[in-house]
Amino acid sequence: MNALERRKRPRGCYVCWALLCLGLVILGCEAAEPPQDAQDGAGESGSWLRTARRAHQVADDAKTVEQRGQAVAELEEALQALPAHAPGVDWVRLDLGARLAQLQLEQGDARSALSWVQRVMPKQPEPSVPAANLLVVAGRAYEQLGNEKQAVESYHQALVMNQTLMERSLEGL
Amino acid sequence: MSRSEDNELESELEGEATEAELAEAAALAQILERGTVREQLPSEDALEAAALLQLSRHPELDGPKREAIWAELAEQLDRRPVEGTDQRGASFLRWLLWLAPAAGVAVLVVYLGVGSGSDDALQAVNIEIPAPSKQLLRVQARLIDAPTQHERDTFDEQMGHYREQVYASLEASHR
Repeated sequence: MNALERRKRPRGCYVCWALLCLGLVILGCEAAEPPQDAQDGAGESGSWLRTARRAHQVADDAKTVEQRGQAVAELEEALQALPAHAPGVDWVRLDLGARLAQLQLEQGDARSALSWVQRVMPKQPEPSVPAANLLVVAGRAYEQLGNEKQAVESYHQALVMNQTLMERSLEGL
Repeated sequence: MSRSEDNELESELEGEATEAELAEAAALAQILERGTVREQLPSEDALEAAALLQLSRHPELDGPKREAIWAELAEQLDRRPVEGTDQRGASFLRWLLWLAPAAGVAVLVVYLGVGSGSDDALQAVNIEIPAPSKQLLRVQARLIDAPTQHERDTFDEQMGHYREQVYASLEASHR
């Protein structure tokens, strides 16, 4: 090893040290960044709540086929604007989904209605009014598609959920 | 090496450096991390490096003398202030060595100080959805059993009220 080769060592060490420190900074930044859920839940909650509320308003006012089409678009937009996790967002998602699926069902599009039900309904939903609504819409959609067995199952689940909510309401008296 | 030999060697080195010599100098500079491409090597360094390289390869020089010339070349280039983009790069590296750990510590301090606060904020907005009224639940049950347009309209109206109640609660909690 000659003198020139020996001189290469210190620089390499400095670069390694710098890279190590950069890695530390990047890790620190990732750790310090507030979770997306927290940002969505606390910072932009007004935005998605307003969007959802406006979509329901459009759906309330929809009388003609064209207006219902507009309401479907608004409800879809509101659903897409929802954060993954935020306080109350699950309820809002189920409610928007049930409204959207109901409108599509009324327009004769049972497949789209069922598709939305499946997209917004969790595998094990907590009992709630919009979750029961979704199950009812699913039952209607299955009925329209000629799947009686699945329709009866959905209605049964909706009734059980409705009954659970009623029991909870009575317990609160 | 005697004085006469030195003069002889120096006489051989007179004149312009050739393209090959400059390329060698650039390669040497790369070894020294003084520049990654030939254009980044200051012209004086290139010429000197070329001259010393040529000198070190003279057949009359033995191993220890050649090694001494290489060491001298390395020392000279190291003492010379680096210019241009190289200088900026070295300066940036020096800053980075100080700034990187400082920034890492600062970020961790902020995380430890503020992170727990954000958790509290989340818990504060973790609200409870208002319970539905029994009337709404009864209408919903009837809608499941025997849906009529009247039941549908009644349910939509009741659901509208309940929805308004929930949204008002959510908005109040996020304010």
